[in-house]
Amino acid sequence: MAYNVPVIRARHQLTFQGFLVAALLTAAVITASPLIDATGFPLTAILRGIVGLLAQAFPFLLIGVLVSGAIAAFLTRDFIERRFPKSLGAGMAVSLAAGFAMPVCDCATVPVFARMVRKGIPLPSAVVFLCAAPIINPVVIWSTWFAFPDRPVLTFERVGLGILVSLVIGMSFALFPPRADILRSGIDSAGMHGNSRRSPDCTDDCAADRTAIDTGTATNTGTDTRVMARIVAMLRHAHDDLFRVVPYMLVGIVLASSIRVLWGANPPAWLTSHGMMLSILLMMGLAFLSSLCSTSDAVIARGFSTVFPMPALLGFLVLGPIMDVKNVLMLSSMFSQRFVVRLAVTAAVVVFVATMLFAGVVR
Amino acid sequence: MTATKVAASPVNGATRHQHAQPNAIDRIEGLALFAFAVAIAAFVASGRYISFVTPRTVPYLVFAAIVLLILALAAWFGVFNCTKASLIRILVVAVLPTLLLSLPIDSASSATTGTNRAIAINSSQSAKLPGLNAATKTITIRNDDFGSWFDRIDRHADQYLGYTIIVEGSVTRDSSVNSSQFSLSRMLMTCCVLDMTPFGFVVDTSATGTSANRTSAISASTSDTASPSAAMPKGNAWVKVTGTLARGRIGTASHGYNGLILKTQSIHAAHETSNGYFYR
Repeated sequence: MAYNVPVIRARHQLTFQGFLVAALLTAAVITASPLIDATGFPLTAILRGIVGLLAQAFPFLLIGVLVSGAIAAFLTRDFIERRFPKSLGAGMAVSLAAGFAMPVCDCATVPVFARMVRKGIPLPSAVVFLCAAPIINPVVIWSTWFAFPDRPVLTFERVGLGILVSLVIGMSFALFPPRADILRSGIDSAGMHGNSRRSPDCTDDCAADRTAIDTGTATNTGTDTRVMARIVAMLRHAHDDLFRVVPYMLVGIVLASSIRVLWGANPPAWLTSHGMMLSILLMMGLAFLSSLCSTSDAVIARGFSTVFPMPALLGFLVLGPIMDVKNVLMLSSMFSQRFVVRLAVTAAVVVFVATMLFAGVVR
Repeated sequence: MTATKVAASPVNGATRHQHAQPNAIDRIEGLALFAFAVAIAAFVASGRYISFVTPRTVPYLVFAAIVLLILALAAWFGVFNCTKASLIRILVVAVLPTLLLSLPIDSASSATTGTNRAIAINSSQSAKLPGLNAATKTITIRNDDFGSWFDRIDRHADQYLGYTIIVEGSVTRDSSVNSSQFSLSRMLMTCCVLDMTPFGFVVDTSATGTSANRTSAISASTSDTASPSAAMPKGNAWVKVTGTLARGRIGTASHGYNGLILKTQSIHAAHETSNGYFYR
């Protein structure tokens, strides 16, 4: 082997040991789940739910990160920005069209949004793109339809509500434009997209690759080599996104399975007695905290479908892609705290009002 | 470990770089992703997936295994330049799912929840479903046709009103039915094991002679499927119902709705012969 094994062993001995111990402990807990069931905690049922949700959600997550990686690797990042109209109405329309055309989840739209703002695209249009793209793109529509084959109308409701909510949030920034500069000082455009797209695993080498792709200046002159470089860049994007998003997905899956198993098939009495408002708020809170990728959140929402009413599921499916802990952290690294708080509160209020109105209509 | 060589080139502002040899973490990630791909392939090939997800998921799982295989190769050859910090993510992203998909997760109850066989519901309107006798206006529903016939009757209720339906299923009761009704159900999995739910016909026993007659019919077959003192079969009992399809009140007069019911002609205990769930 080309690397120095003793050095690696010396430097990573503890980590390797921790890795092995953690893997063995996990295996032991899974294998011993029937014993843990005997204590009264239904671990086996929760694990079965986790495996079911994992098998459903993971392929869609892979589709999402691959397509997102392909867009990042094969299109220059200036592609949208160069063609973006400056007027409000046309800008919002193009934002929606771009959302339909770009199968990316929310972790990929935040950096694009940041660059749109930096390039001088009107803030309301950029906000519409940020909110709508992770909800209305083809992969998300596909996965929502897959998760709710018995309720195909839910897919249309999600897309419709997503467009409506995005436009209202965008309009709020047109009617009440921020007074101060929303970008954090000291952040330039290169820093924005370079840093924001990097996962903890992304090395300088990886970032350099991305810079080459982003600026549309391939380093090699041969077409084949250039295509190969872009395929490698695509794989790196997909890999980095996958490794960043899967932990969030697993947390969401564990939450969904636990709630479903511990609460049973019917909502608990205290939830039904407090009605729709509490259900919607709870599901919106779950969406915010669990930070799921929008390409696979529909499958997880399905796990909640026997416990929560449909408007609450819609609140989960519309708010999650727009605003969650992950997005707040990403936005906070590029935008002023005041702007991020305003965007988060506006999104939460608009989604809540929209789903409450929807609940009133369907009733 | 060989360091990554990065050299900036002034030409066109591009960055020229050269990848180092793969390090030990790259190899570990490659192996972990490969194991994940194999775990998914085995999950599908062994048929174990049936207990967790419907067969609709199979193409997606095959796709996932192929993509993971490609990522595993790329990781093995050092494309992702893993670092020491990657280990924890490898554990969460690749090792944990591999263990979940590979290790047995079985409880005593899983054998009785009907997750060992998946039966597709044929929703095609042109499909000829077996068991129909138009001359006598009778539909004898075989176990594996329960889902397809339920779907057909639910969609075209008016066409089958007044038909005699002979069907088997499990007895379930909940707050949506009244004291003389129960649901004759089978299990339905829409997406995954978490949404497994009973579905089926609401059986109304109020028209079936006296309670004593119903009870004797049930008790005659299997004494443990119904209490001698009960007016209706016990919950979870497997019964064969002969009934007439009609429209009627489901639930009580104050808390209920009008829907399709089976007005029973007879109820008999039956042996559960076809375990499994339905899926669309």
